[in-house]
Amino acid sequence: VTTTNPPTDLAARARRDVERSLRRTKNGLKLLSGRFRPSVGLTPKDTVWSFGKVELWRYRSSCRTLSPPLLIVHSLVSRTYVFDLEPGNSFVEFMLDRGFDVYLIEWGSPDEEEAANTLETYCDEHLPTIVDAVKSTSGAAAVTMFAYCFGGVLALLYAAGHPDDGVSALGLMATPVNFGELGAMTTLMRRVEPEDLLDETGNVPSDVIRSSFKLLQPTGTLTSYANLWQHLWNDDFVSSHQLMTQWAMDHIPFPGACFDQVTRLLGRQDLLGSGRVPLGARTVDLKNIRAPLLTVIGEKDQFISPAAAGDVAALVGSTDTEELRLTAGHVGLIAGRSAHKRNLPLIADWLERHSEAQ
Amino acid sequence: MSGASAVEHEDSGAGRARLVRVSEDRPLWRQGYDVIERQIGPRLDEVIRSEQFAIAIGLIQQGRRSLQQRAERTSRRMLHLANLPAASDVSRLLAEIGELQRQVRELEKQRDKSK
Repeated sequence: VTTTNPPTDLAARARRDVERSLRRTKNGLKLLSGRFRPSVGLTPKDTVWSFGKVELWRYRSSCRTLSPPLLIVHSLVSRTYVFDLEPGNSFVEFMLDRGFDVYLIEWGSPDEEEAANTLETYCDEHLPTIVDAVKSTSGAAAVTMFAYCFGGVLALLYAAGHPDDGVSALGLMATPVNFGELGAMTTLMRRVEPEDLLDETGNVPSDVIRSSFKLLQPTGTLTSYANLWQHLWNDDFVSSHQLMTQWAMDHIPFPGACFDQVTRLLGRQDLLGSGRVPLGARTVDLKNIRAPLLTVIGEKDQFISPAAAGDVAALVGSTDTEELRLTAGHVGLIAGRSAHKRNLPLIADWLERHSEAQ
Repeated sequence: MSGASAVEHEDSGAGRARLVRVSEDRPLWRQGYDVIERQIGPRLDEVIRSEQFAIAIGLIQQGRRSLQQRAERTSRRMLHLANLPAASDVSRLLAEIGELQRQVRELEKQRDKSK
Protein backbone atom coordinates (compact mmCIF):
# COMPACT_ATOMS: atom_id res chain seq x y z
CA VAL A 1 0.00 0.00 0.00
CA THR A 2 1.42 3.33 -1.05
CA THR A 3 0.10 6.40 0.70
CA THR A 4 0.89 9.90 -0.46
CA ASN A 5 0.05 12.51 2.11
CA PRO A 6 -0.23 16.24 1.46
CA PRO A 7 3.28 17.72 1.61
CA THR A 8 3.79 20.05 4.50
CA ASP A 9 6.55 22.32 3.34
CA LEU A 10 6.39 24.69 0.42
CA ALA A 11 9.48 23.38 -1.40
CA ALA A 12 8.21 19.83 -1.36
CA ARG A 13 4.82 21.03 -2.57
CA ALA A 14 6.42 22.94 -5.44
CA ARG A 15 8.51 19.89 -6.38
CA ARG A 16 5.41 17.73 -6.32
CA ASP A 17 3.49 20.18 -8.50
CA VAL A 18 6.25 20.29 -11.10
CA GLU A 19 6.46 16.50 -11.14
CA ARG A 20 2.72 16.22 -11.51
CA SER A 21 2.63 18.78 -14.30
CA LEU A 22 5.17 16.74 -16.24
CA ARG A 23 3.20 13.54 -15.68
CA ARG A 24 -0.03 15.31 -16.61
CA THR A 25 1.48 16.35 -19.92
CA LYS A 26 2.81 12.85 -20.56
CA ASN A 27 -0.50 11.17 -19.70
CA GLY A 28 -2.50 13.77 -21.62
CA LEU A 29 -0.44 13.13 -24.73
CA LYS A 30 -0.74 9.37 -24.24
CA LEU A 31 -4.52 9.68 -23.95
CA LEU A 32 -4.74 11.86 -27.03
CA SER A 33 -2.60 9.42 -29.02
CA GLY A 34 -4.77 6.49 -27.90
CA ARG A 35 -1.84 4.64 -26.27
CA PHE A 36 -3.79 4.10 -23.06
CA ARG A 37 -6.18 1.58 -24.58
CA PRO A 38 -5.99 -1.37 -22.18
CA SER A 39 -6.20 -5.02 -23.23
CA VAL A 40 -9.16 -6.84 -21.71
CA GLY A 41 -10.45 -10.40 -21.40
CA LEU A 42 -7.00 -11.97 -21.07
CA THR A 43 -7.88 -15.03 -18.96
CA PRO A 44 -7.31 -18.11 -21.18
CA LYS A 45 -10.53 -19.78 -22.31
CA ASP A 46 -11.97 -22.19 -24.86
CA THR A 47 -15.15 -21.90 -26.88
CA VAL A 48 -17.00 -25.10 -26.01
CA TRP A 49 -20.29 -24.40 -27.80
CA SER A 50 -21.56 -21.87 -30.32
CA PHE A 51 -24.62 -21.10 -32.37
CA GLY A 52 -24.57 -18.14 -34.73
CA LYS A 53 -22.96 -15.33 -32.79
CA VAL A 54 -23.65 -16.88 -29.39
CA GLU A 55 -20.65 -18.59 -27.81
CA LEU A 56 -20.10 -20.45 -24.57
CA TRP A 57 -16.65 -20.00 -23.07
CA ARG A 58 -15.04 -22.25 -20.51
CA TYR A 59 -12.11 -20.71 -18.68
CA ARG A 60 -9.00 -22.82 -18.30
CA SER A 61 -8.01 -23.80 -14.81
CA SER A 62 -5.80 -26.35 -13.14
CA CYS A 63 -7.61 -26.12 -9.81
CA ARG A 64 -11.29 -26.91 -10.41
CA THR A 65 -12.19 -28.10 -6.96
CA LEU A 66 -15.88 -27.12 -6.78
CA SER A 67 -18.96 -28.43 -8.48
CA PRO A 68 -21.42 -27.66 -10.06
CA PRO A 69 -19.85 -25.40 -12.68
CA LEU A 70 -20.51 -21.69 -12.48
CA LEU A 71 -22.31 -20.30 -15.55
CA ILE A 72 -22.17 -16.51 -15.92
CA VAL A 73 -25.09 -14.95 -17.81
CA HIS A 74 -24.41 -11.43 -18.95
CA SER A 75 -26.69 -8.64 -20.10
CA LEU A 76 -27.65 -8.18 -23.75
CA VAL A 77 -26.54 -4.55 -24.01
CA SER A 78 -22.92 -4.48 -22.86
CA ARG A 79 -19.71 -6.42 -23.38
CA THR A 80 -18.85 -9.47 -21.33
CA TYR A 81 -15.26 -8.38 -20.65
CA VAL A 82 -16.48 -6.53 -17.55
CA PHE A 83 -16.11 -9.96 -15.92
CA ASP A 84 -12.49 -10.19 -17.00
CA LEU A 85 -11.09 -6.69 -17.17
CA GLU A 86 -7.42 -7.27 -16.39
CA PRO A 87 -5.28 -9.59 -14.28
CA GLY A 88 -5.96 -8.80 -10.64
CA ASN A 89 -9.21 -7.05 -11.54
CA SER A 90 -11.22 -9.94 -12.91
CA PHE A 91 -14.34 -11.63 -11.54
CA VAL A 92 -13.54 -14.69 -13.64
CA GLU A 93 -9.98 -14.94 -12.35
CA PHE A 94 -11.20 -14.52 -8.76
CA MET A 95 -13.71 -17.35 -9.13
CA LEU A 96 -11.15 -19.60 -10.85
CA ASP A 97 -8.76 -19.02 -7.95
CA ARG A 98 -11.51 -20.07 -5.55
CA GLY A 99 -11.84 -23.37 -7.39
CA PHE A 100 -14.91 -22.82 -9.55
CA ASP A 101 -15.26 -24.22 -13.05
CA VAL A 102 -16.22 -20.98 -14.80
CA TYR A 103 -18.28 -20.69 -17.98
CA LEU A 104 -19.46 -17.46 -19.58
CA ILE A 105 -22.03 -16.81 -22.30
CA GLU A 106 -20.94 -14.35 -24.97
CA TRP A 107 -24.16 -13.25 -26.69
CA GLY A 108 -22.34 -11.53 -29.55
CA SER A 109 -23.27 -8.26 -31.20
CA PRO A 110 -26.70 -8.53 -32.88
CA ASP A 111 -27.40 -7.40 -36.41
CA GLU A 112 -30.29 -8.13 -38.79
CA GLU A 113 -29.99 -11.87 -38.13
CA GLU A 114 -30.83 -11.39 -34.47
CA ALA A 115 -33.36 -8.56 -34.82
CA ALA A 116 -36.26 -11.00 -34.44
CA ASN A 117 -34.81 -12.57 -31.28
CA THR A 118 -37.31 -12.48 -28.45
CA LEU A 119 -37.14 -13.32 -24.76
CA GLU A 120 -38.16 -16.84 -25.80
CA THR A 121 -35.09 -17.07 -28.07
CA TYR A 122 -32.84 -16.52 -25.07
CA CYS A 123 -34.84 -18.18 -22.28
CA ASP A 124 -36.43 -21.12 -24.10
CA GLU A 125 -33.89 -21.80 -26.85
CA HIS A 126 -30.35 -20.62 -26.08
CA LEU A 127 -30.21 -21.01 -22.30
CA PRO A 128 -31.56 -24.58 -22.13
CA THR A 129 -29.10 -25.65 -24.86
CA ILE A 130 -26.24 -23.80 -23.15
CA VAL A 131 -27.02 -25.37 -19.76
CA ASP A 132 -26.96 -28.79 -21.49
CA ALA A 133 -23.61 -27.90 -23.07
CA VAL A 134 -22.18 -26.89 -19.67
CA LYS A 135 -23.38 -30.14 -18.14
CA SER A 136 -22.02 -32.28 -20.95
CA THR A 137 -18.61 -30.58 -21.11
CA SER A 138 -18.13 -30.53 -17.34
CA GLY A 139 -19.71 -33.90 -16.59
CA ALA A 140 -21.82 -32.28 -13.87
CA ALA A 141 -25.51 -32.95 -13.38
CA ALA A 142 -26.35 -29.39 -12.41
CA VAL A 143 -25.24 -25.81 -12.94
CA THR A 144 -24.88 -22.78 -10.70
CA MET A 145 -26.08 -19.73 -12.58
CA PHE A 146 -24.78 -16.25 -11.83
CA ALA A 147 -26.33 -13.40 -13.79
CA TYR A 148 -25.60 -9.70 -14.03
CA CYS A 149 -27.94 -6.83 -14.90
CA PHE A 150 -30.39 -7.76 -17.70
CA GLY A 151 -28.77 -11.20 -17.77
CA GLY A 152 -30.55 -11.69 -14.44
CA VAL A 153 -33.92 -11.13 -16.11
CA LEU A 154 -33.06 -13.82 -18.65
CA ALA A 155 -31.84 -16.16 -15.90
CA LEU A 156 -35.01 -15.62 -13.85
CA LEU A 157 -37.34 -16.29 -16.78
CA TYR A 158 -35.30 -19.30 -17.83
CA ALA A 159 -35.16 -20.77 -14.33
CA ALA A 160 -38.90 -20.22 -13.87
CA GLY A 161 -39.73 -21.70 -17.27
CA HIS A 162 -37.39 -24.69 -16.93
CA PRO A 163 -37.41 -25.64 -13.25
CA ASP A 164 -36.19 -29.19 -13.95
CA ASP A 165 -33.14 -28.24 -16.02
CA GLY A 166 -30.76 -28.57 -13.08
CA VAL A 167 -30.01 -25.05 -11.91
CA SER A 168 -28.82 -25.85 -8.42
CA ALA A 169 -28.32 -22.26 -7.28
CA LEU A 170 -29.07 -18.87 -8.78
CA GLY A 171 -27.20 -15.63 -8.18
CA LEU A 172 -28.56 -12.32 -9.46
CA MET A 173 -26.50 -9.17 -9.38
CA ALA A 174 -27.84 -5.68 -10.17
CA THR A 175 -30.88 -7.21 -11.80
CA PRO A 176 -33.90 -5.02 -12.56
CA VAL A 177 -37.13 -6.63 -11.42
CA ASN A 178 -39.30 -3.59 -10.72
CA PHE A 179 -39.16 -1.89 -14.08
CA GLY A 180 -41.39 0.86 -12.76
CA GLU A 181 -38.49 2.05 -10.59
CA LEU A 182 -35.94 2.68 -13.33
CA GLY A 183 -36.37 6.45 -13.20
CA ALA A 184 -36.01 8.23 -16.53
CA MET A 185 -35.77 4.87 -18.28
CA THR A 186 -39.26 3.93 -17.03
CA THR A 187 -40.77 7.20 -18.26
CA LEU A 188 -39.13 6.72 -21.65
CA MET A 189 -40.30 3.11 -21.94
CA ARG A 190 -43.84 4.22 -21.19
CA ARG A 191 -43.83 7.24 -23.50
CA VAL A 192 -41.64 6.31 -26.47
CA GLU A 193 -42.85 3.67 -28.92
CA PRO A 194 -40.22 0.90 -29.10
CA GLU A 195 -40.28 0.79 -32.92
CA ASP A 196 -39.23 4.46 -33.03
CA LEU A 197 -35.91 3.51 -31.44
CA LEU A 198 -35.01 0.81 -33.96
CA ASP A 199 -32.49 1.37 -36.72
CA GLU A 200 -32.42 -0.10 -40.23
CA THR A 201 -31.14 -3.43 -38.86
CA GLY A 202 -34.26 -3.76 -36.70
CA ASN A 203 -32.29 -3.41 -33.46
CA VAL A 204 -31.90 -0.63 -30.91
CA PRO A 205 -28.52 0.81 -31.93
CA SER A 206 -25.71 0.93 -29.40
CA ASP A 207 -25.57 4.75 -29.40
CA VAL A 208 -29.24 4.92 -28.33
CA ILE A 209 -28.47 2.51 -25.48
CA ARG A 210 -25.42 4.55 -24.51
CA SER A 211 -27.45 7.77 -24.53
CA SER A 212 -30.24 6.27 -22.44
CA PHE A 213 -27.73 5.16 -19.80
CA LYS A 214 -26.20 8.62 -19.83
CA LEU A 215 -29.65 10.06 -19.17
CA LEU A 216 -29.72 8.22 -15.87
CA GLN A 217 -26.65 10.20 -14.82
CA PRO A 218 -27.01 13.55 -16.55
CA THR A 219 -23.77 15.01 -15.16
CA GLY A 220 -21.93 11.68 -15.08
CA THR A 221 -19.80 12.20 -18.18
CA LEU A 222 -18.74 15.68 -17.13
CA THR A 223 -17.89 14.49 -13.62
CA SER A 224 -15.88 11.64 -15.08
CA TYR A 225 -13.83 14.10 -17.14
CA ALA A 226 -13.42 16.33 -14.07
CA ASN A 227 -12.05 13.31 -12.15
CA LEU A 228 -9.71 12.50 -15.01
CA TRP A 229 -8.43 16.06 -15.23
CA GLN A 230 -7.90 16.21 -11.48
CA HIS A 231 -5.90 12.95 -11.42
CA LEU A 232 -4.29 13.12 -14.85
CA TRP A 233 -0.88 13.09 -13.13
CA ASN A 234 -1.59 9.64 -11.70
CA ASP A 235 -0.69 6.84 -14.15
CA ASP A 236 -2.70 4.22 -12.29
CA PHE A 237 -5.81 6.35 -12.05
CA VAL A 238 -5.65 7.16 -15.76
CA SER A 239 -5.22 3.50 -16.66
CA SER A 240 -8.13 2.46 -14.43
CA HIS A 241 -10.29 5.31 -15.74
CA GLN A 242 -9.59 4.30 -19.32
CA LEU A 243 -10.51 0.69 -18.58
CA MET A 244 -13.87 1.59 -17.05
CA THR A 245 -14.66 4.29 -19.61
CA GLN A 246 -13.89 1.87 -22.42
CA TRP A 247 -16.39 -0.65 -21.02
CA ALA A 248 -19.03 1.93 -20.13
CA MET A 249 -19.02 3.29 -23.70
CA ASP A 250 -18.88 -0.12 -25.34
CA HIS A 251 -22.53 -1.04 -25.71
CA ILE A 252 -23.96 -3.45 -28.22
CA PRO A 253 -27.29 -3.24 -30.07
CA PHE A 254 -30.38 -4.69 -28.40
CA PRO A 255 -32.44 -7.10 -30.54
CA GLY A 256 -35.52 -5.19 -31.70
CA ALA A 257 -38.17 -7.85 -31.04
CA CYS A 258 -36.82 -8.49 -27.56
CA PHE A 259 -36.76 -4.76 -26.84
CA ASP A 260 -40.39 -4.44 -27.94
CA GLN A 261 -41.33 -7.29 -25.59
CA VAL A 262 -39.33 -5.90 -22.67
CA THR A 263 -40.88 -2.46 -23.14
CA ARG A 264 -44.45 -3.72 -23.31
CA LEU A 265 -44.36 -6.58 -20.80
CA LEU A 266 -41.82 -5.40 -18.29
CA GLY A 267 -41.56 -1.64 -18.76
CA ARG A 268 -45.24 -0.80 -19.20
CA GLN A 269 -47.01 -3.64 -17.41
CA ASP A 270 -44.27 -4.33 -14.85
CA LEU A 271 -45.01 -8.06 -15.11
CA LEU A 272 -41.64 -9.23 -13.80
CA GLY A 273 -42.36 -7.33 -10.60
CA SER A 274 -45.62 -9.25 -10.34
CA GLY A 275 -43.76 -12.54 -10.67
CA ARG A 276 -45.70 -13.83 -13.70
CA VAL A 277 -44.53 -13.21 -17.26
CA PRO A 278 -46.01 -14.60 -20.50
CA LEU A 279 -43.29 -16.50 -22.32
CA GLY A 280 -44.08 -18.44 -25.47
CA ALA A 281 -47.40 -20.21 -25.18
CA ARG A 282 -47.44 -20.17 -21.37
CA THR A 283 -47.02 -17.81 -18.45
CA VAL A 284 -43.97 -18.49 -16.34
CA ASP A 285 -44.27 -18.01 -12.61
CA LEU A 286 -41.18 -17.09 -10.60
CA LYS A 287 -42.62 -19.27 -7.81
CA ASN A 288 -41.37 -22.21 -9.91
CA ILE A 289 -37.83 -21.25 -8.92
CA ARG A 290 -36.95 -23.40 -5.92
CA ALA A 291 -33.17 -23.26 -6.16
CA PRO A 292 -31.27 -21.29 -3.51
CA LEU A 293 -31.21 -17.65 -4.52
CA LEU A 294 -28.67 -14.90 -3.94
CA THR A 295 -29.49 -11.30 -4.86
CA VAL A 296 -26.67 -8.78 -4.93
CA ILE A 297 -27.75 -5.16 -4.84
CA GLY A 298 -25.54 -2.09 -5.15
CA GLU A 299 -26.74 0.59 -2.78
CA LYS A 300 -25.07 3.22 -4.94
CA ASP A 301 -26.09 1.61 -8.24
CA GLN A 302 -26.83 4.51 -10.56
CA PHE A 303 -28.78 2.34 -13.03
CA ILE A 304 -30.48 -0.39 -11.01
CA SER A 305 -31.41 1.20 -7.70
CA PRO A 306 -32.32 -1.01 -4.73
CA ALA A 307 -35.98 -0.13 -5.45
CA ALA A 308 -35.60 -1.31 -9.06
CA ALA A 309 -33.85 -4.50 -7.92
CA GLY A 310 -36.89 -5.17 -5.75
CA ASP A 311 -37.54 -8.06 -3.44
CA VAL A 312 -36.94 -11.07 -5.67
CA ALA A 313 -36.94 -13.42 -2.69
CA ALA A 314 -40.62 -12.68 -2.17
CA LEU A 315 -41.42 -13.61 -5.76
CA VAL A 316 -39.63 -16.95 -6.03
CA GLY A 317 -40.48 -20.29 -4.47
CA SER A 318 -37.02 -20.79 -2.95
CA THR A 319 -36.79 -21.25 0.78
CA ASP A 320 -33.04 -20.58 0.85
CA THR A 321 -32.64 -16.93 -0.14
CA GLU A 322 -30.06 -14.33 0.74
CA GLU A 323 -29.70 -10.68 -0.17
CA LEU A 324 -26.35 -8.91 -0.22
CA ARG A 325 -26.62 -5.14 -0.10
CA LEU A 326 -23.24 -3.72 -0.94
CA THR A 327 -21.98 -0.16 -0.89
CA ALA A 328 -21.11 -0.07 -4.56
CA GLY A 329 -22.23 1.26 -7.91
CA HIS A 330 -23.33 -0.79 -10.91
CA VAL A 331 -19.83 -1.72 -12.08
CA GLY A 332 -18.20 -1.34 -8.67
CA LEU A 333 -20.08 -4.46 -7.58
CA ILE A 334 -17.68 -6.67 -9.53
CA ALA A 335 -14.81 -4.51 -10.74
CA GLY A 336 -12.19 -2.52 -8.90
CA ARG A 337 -10.38 -2.61 -5.60
CA SER A 338 -13.38 -2.54 -3.27
CA ALA A 339 -15.12 -5.25 -5.23
CA HIS A 340 -12.13 -7.56 -4.91
CA LYS A 341 -11.64 -6.79 -1.27
CA ARG A 342 -15.24 -6.89 -0.07
CA ASN A 343 -17.84 -7.91 -2.66
CA LEU A 344 -16.33 -10.84 -4.53
CA PRO A 345 -15.35 -12.75 -1.36
CA LEU A 346 -18.94 -12.47 -0.10
CA ILE A 347 -20.35 -13.65 -3.43
CA ALA A 348 -17.80 -16.46 -3.68
CA ASP A 349 -18.55 -17.55 -0.10
CA TRP A 350 -22.25 -17.90 -0.89
CA LEU A 351 -21.53 -19.76 -4.14
CA GLU A 352 -19.09 -22.02 -2.29
CA ARG A 353 -21.68 -22.79 0.39
CA HIS A 354 -23.97 -23.94 -2.41
CA SER A 355 -21.31 -26.05 -4.11
CA GLU A 356 -19.65 -29.33 -3.33
CA ALA A 357 -16.04 -30.46 -3.50
CA GLN A 358 -15.34 -32.27 -6.76
CA MET B 1 -16.67 21.92 3.17
CA SER B 2 -13.59 19.76 3.40
CA GLY B 3 -11.17 19.95 0.54
CA ALA B 4 -9.75 16.47 1.02
CA SER B 5 -10.34 13.69 -1.45
CA ALA B 6 -9.14 10.12 -1.70
CA VAL B 7 -8.60 8.11 -4.83
CA GLU B 8 -8.33 4.37 -4.76
CA HIS B 9 -7.58 2.27 -7.78
CA GLU B 10 -5.81 -0.77 -9.10
CA ASP B 11 -2.30 -1.24 -10.28
CA SER B 12 -1.99 -4.28 -12.49
CA GLY B 13 1.81 -4.34 -12.25
CA ALA B 14 3.33 -7.83 -12.00
CA GLY B 15 0.00 -9.26 -13.02
CA ARG B 16 -1.72 -8.71 -9.67
CA ALA B 17 -3.72 -5.90 -8.14
CA ARG B 18 -1.82 -3.49 -5.91
CA LEU B 19 -3.62 -0.87 -3.90
CA VAL B 20 -2.54 2.69 -4.43
CA ARG B 21 -4.25 5.25 -2.26
CA VAL B 22 -3.82 8.91 -2.96
CA SER B 23 -5.02 11.52 -0.52
CA GLU B 24 -4.79 15.14 -1.49
CA ASP B 25 -6.45 18.52 -1.29
CA ARG B 26 -9.15 19.09 -3.82
CA PRO B 27 -8.12 21.95 -6.08
CA LEU B 28 -10.25 25.09 -6.04
CA TRP B 29 -11.68 24.48 -9.53
CA ARG B 30 -12.83 21.04 -8.40
CA GLN B 31 -14.52 22.37 -5.30
CA GLY B 32 -16.30 24.89 -7.54
CA TYR B 33 -17.34 22.16 -9.97
CA ASP B 34 -18.71 20.00 -7.15
CA VAL B 35 -20.79 22.90 -5.81
CA ILE B 36 -22.25 23.63 -9.25
CA GLU B 37 -22.82 19.93 -9.94
CA ARG B 38 -24.70 19.54 -6.67
CA GLN B 39 -26.93 22.46 -7.63
CA ILE B 40 -27.53 21.51 -11.27
CA GLY B 41 -27.51 17.71 -11.04
CA PRO B 42 -30.84 17.20 -9.24
CA ARG B 43 -32.58 19.79 -11.45
CA LEU B 44 -31.34 18.11 -14.63
CA ASP B 45 -32.45 14.79 -13.20
CA GLU B 46 -35.91 16.20 -12.56
CA VAL B 47 -36.18 17.46 -16.15
CA ILE B 48 -35.02 14.13 -17.58
CA ARG B 49 -37.50 12.17 -15.48
CA SER B 50 -40.43 14.36 -16.58
CA GLU B 51 -43.19 13.22 -18.90
CA GLN B 52 -42.57 16.23 -21.16
CA PHE B 53 -38.96 15.20 -21.71
CA ALA B 54 -40.03 11.65 -22.59
CA ILE B 55 -42.64 13.00 -25.02
CA ALA B 56 -40.02 15.25 -26.64
CA ILE B 57 -37.62 12.31 -27.02
CA GLY B 58 -40.46 10.28 -28.53
CA LEU B 59 -41.22 12.99 -31.09
CA ILE B 60 -37.53 13.40 -31.96
CA GLN B 61 -37.18 9.65 -32.46
CA GLN B 62 -40.31 9.55 -34.64
CA GLY B 63 -38.93 12.36 -36.77
CA ARG B 64 -35.53 10.70 -37.04
CA ARG B 65 -37.08 7.39 -38.04
CA SER B 66 -39.34 9.00 -40.62
CA LEU B 67 -36.38 10.84 -42.20
CA GLN B 68 -34.32 7.66 -42.16
CA GLN B 69 -37.11 5.72 -43.90
CA ARG B 70 -37.54 8.43 -46.52
CA ALA B 71 -33.78 8.50 -47.23
CA GLU B 72 -33.69 4.71 -47.41
CA ARG B 73 -36.62 4.59 -49.87
CA THR B 74 -35.08 7.22 -52.12
CA SER B 75 -31.61 5.64 -52.20
CA ARG B 76 -33.09 2.16 -52.71
CA ARG B 77 -35.12 3.34 -55.71
CA MET B 78 -32.05 4.96 -57.26
CA LEU B 79 -29.88 1.89 -56.73
CA HIS B 80 -32.60 -0.41 -58.08
CA LEU B 81 -32.86 1.76 -61.20
CA ALA B 82 -29.18 0.97 -61.80
CA ASN B 83 -29.91 -2.70 -61.00
CA LEU B 84 -27.79 -2.51 -57.85
CA PRO B 85 -28.69 -3.96 -54.45
CA ALA B 86 -29.34 -1.52 -51.61
CA ALA B 87 -28.30 -1.91 -47.98
CA SER B 88 -31.91 -2.72 -47.14
CA ASP B 89 -31.77 -5.69 -49.53
CA VAL B 90 -28.76 -7.01 -47.62
CA SER B 91 -30.59 -6.38 -44.33
CA ARG B 92 -33.58 -8.33 -45.60
CA LEU B 93 -31.34 -11.25 -46.62
CA LEU B 94 -29.63 -11.25 -43.22
CA ALA B 95 -33.02 -11.24 -41.50
CA GLU B 96 -34.01 -14.23 -43.63
CA ILE B 97 -30.79 -16.02 -42.62
CA GLY B 98 -31.73 -15.31 -39.01
CA GLU B 99 -35.16 -16.83 -39.61
CA LEU B 100 -33.54 -19.90 -41.20
CA GLN B 101 -31.25 -20.24 -38.19
CA ARG B 102 -34.28 -20.20 -35.92
CA GLN B 103 -35.88 -22.95 -37.99
CA VAL B 104 -32.68 -25.02 -37.87
CA ARG B 105 -32.61 -24.59 -34.09
CA GLU B 106 -36.24 -25.68 -33.86
CA LEU B 107 -35.56 -28.74 -36.05
CA GLU B 108 -32.52 -29.63 -33.92
CA LYS B 109 -34.67 -29.43 -30.81
CA GLN B 110 -37.30 -31.68 -32.35
CA ARG B 111 -34.61 -34.14 -33.46
CA ASP B 112 -33.10 -34.21 -29.96
CA LYS B 113 -36.52 -34.79 -28.42
CA SER B 114 -37.33 -37.68 -30.73
CA LYS B 115 -33.99 -39.40 -29.92
